[in-house]
Amino acid sequence: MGHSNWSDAAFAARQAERKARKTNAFDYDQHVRSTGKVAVHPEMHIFGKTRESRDSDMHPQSVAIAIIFDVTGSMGTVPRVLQQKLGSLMRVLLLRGYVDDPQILFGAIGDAYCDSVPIQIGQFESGLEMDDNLGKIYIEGGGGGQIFESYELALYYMAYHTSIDCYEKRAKKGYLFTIGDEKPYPYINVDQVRHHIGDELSQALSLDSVVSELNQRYHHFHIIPTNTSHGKNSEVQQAWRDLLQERILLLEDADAVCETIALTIGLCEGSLASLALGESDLHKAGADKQAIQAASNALTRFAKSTPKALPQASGTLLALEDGASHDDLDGRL
Amino acid sequence: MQSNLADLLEQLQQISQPSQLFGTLDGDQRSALRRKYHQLVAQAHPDLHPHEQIAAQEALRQINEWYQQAQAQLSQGVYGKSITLDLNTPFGHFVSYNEPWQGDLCALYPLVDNGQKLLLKVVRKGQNNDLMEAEAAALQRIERGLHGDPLRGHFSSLYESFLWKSEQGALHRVNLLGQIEGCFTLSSVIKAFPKGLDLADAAWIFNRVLAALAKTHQLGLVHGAVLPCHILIDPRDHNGILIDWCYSVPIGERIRSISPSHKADYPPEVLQKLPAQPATDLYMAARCMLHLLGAKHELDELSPAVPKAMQALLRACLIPAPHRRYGNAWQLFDDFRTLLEKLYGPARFRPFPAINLV
Repeated sequence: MGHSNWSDAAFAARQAERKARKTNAFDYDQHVRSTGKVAVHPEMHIFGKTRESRDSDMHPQSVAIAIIFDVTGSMGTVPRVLQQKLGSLMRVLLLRGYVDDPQILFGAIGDAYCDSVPIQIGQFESGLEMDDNLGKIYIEGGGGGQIFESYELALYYMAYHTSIDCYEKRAKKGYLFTIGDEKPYPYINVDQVRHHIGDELSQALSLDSVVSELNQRYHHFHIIPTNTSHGKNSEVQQAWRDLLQERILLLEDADAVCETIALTIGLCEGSLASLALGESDLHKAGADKQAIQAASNALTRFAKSTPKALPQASGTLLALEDGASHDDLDGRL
Repeated sequence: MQSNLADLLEQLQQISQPSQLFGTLDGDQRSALRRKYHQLVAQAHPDLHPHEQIAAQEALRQINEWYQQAQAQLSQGVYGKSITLDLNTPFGHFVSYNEPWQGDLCALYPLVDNGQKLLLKVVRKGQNNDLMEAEAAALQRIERGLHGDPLRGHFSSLYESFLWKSEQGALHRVNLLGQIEGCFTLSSVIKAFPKGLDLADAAWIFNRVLAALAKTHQLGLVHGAVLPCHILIDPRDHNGILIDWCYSVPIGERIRSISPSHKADYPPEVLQKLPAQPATDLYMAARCMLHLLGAKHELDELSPAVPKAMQALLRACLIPAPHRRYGNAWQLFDDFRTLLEKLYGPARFRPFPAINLV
């Protein structure tokens, strides 16, 4: 997966065409609502499947970027905002060169204890298809009465069922942004994993162990839009902070979600020396002022905590591989 | 020998190593070098080339430069060797002529920079960069916490940490460490004494390891791979140094990777991915001691010559459940000292048995 080239122009044309047809990006959502047949779109179905982000001739330095958001009742507007803003995220990432060949995956989660469609995850794509994938998400708007959603199921899937060349070939971590205003359940439920993903687990896994596995291959950030039902709930914020420390981003304005993602990647890649530079990058790329400010506010805490990027050396090292007696990853636990 | 100046100049243009100019140096290398140098100077001397003064001067200048480099290489013992490492870093230009040592995860290039002996440790697979990061973090923590402490000498030193980009575009983490001289790994000692070392001779080694671990744990760290290959000993002054901090974690976190060939030396909590504790290191230290005293695998292989009290102490370190095991390095250190006093009387320096270690 992940082979076509993103084109800003194609996206704009696509939007224009939609406007002309007066349909919105959420075709599938409308389809479900009009037919009343509640099901995961076949291409967003993950049972027994792996999602792959691959290098290709056109995209030799792919970087996997996954964005999975909560589609329960409290979060209803976020996916629509994401879809509208997508053009500028891709443009900023490409034009500013934060990453060479971004490949983006979209997914949605709900509550596996009560929703009909609690997990939907698309493919990693480098072109217009990701707009298609967004269009295949059904926004169930469910969720239970408590403040938990099944984020852990998505984290489990990303940790164990994705294969990404940026890490496997070049030891470069991908990115995962989860977005939501509630807490993950502390354990991975054996029945839910069997039912939705198709794995047989011998016992429930702790969320910590899944996150630690995930952190091997992804920079994981959680974005809490604070203008949602539970976004200001301190219990929710603390739960994520315990899990991810400084990698929790409090976003005052959900409209700024794409700008926040772009800035975060820029900071992690070390291509942005400071948050202020990132702001001006976004401005040049055409993002609106309010959104930039909101993104920047969300990132202040993280930006302070990021260690300076390590200096780089160039030159030759001969005999680096000689005498390796086994696969260097054999010792991994 | 070059017959004319033009040939000599052409040769000078093509070489990249002094040995390509001066050739193999037999016998007393310095005298041999001087002789070849004089031959070349005689050949290029401006007096012999009255019509090519400028070319002759240039040839002489280059010969002198190569002569200086050859002398420098001779004094470093690297004359005629080819370059294995040539790196431009923000901290300087590093060159090494030595074959790297290969560890479990890294290649280690010994090199000399401004007279200082360094070890450039490069991770072979970028996927293990996180382990190098753990080493850098642990060594920085140790330097901050133990600066000026007499026990600082039980630990390695980190000078710099940076990334190297390979031709394939992969980033490999590099840790630049101080080279530790005159030491041997505990593995080589174990190999040299297959029937086991006398406890009286092995005692100081255990003491150094325990002191180093006590400090490590005070700093909130677990070493995570206390194995014979990670313990260096200096038979001259009986120092012990704990090296390779790639596997270290803060107390309470799980150890992420093991050395596969030493799987049997890890306590159960590591393989079960449970939190690492000071007791984890003490278990592994006791396994080292077990091997040092002559047991390849289990306690019951120890010769009856190993005092019963020592066997009991080791058993208490090797209890599978971490919370029942020794969990405090200083406590174990004290108990071991009491045991030694009972067995041998007050501590005194015993010269290490003379044996060839490699």
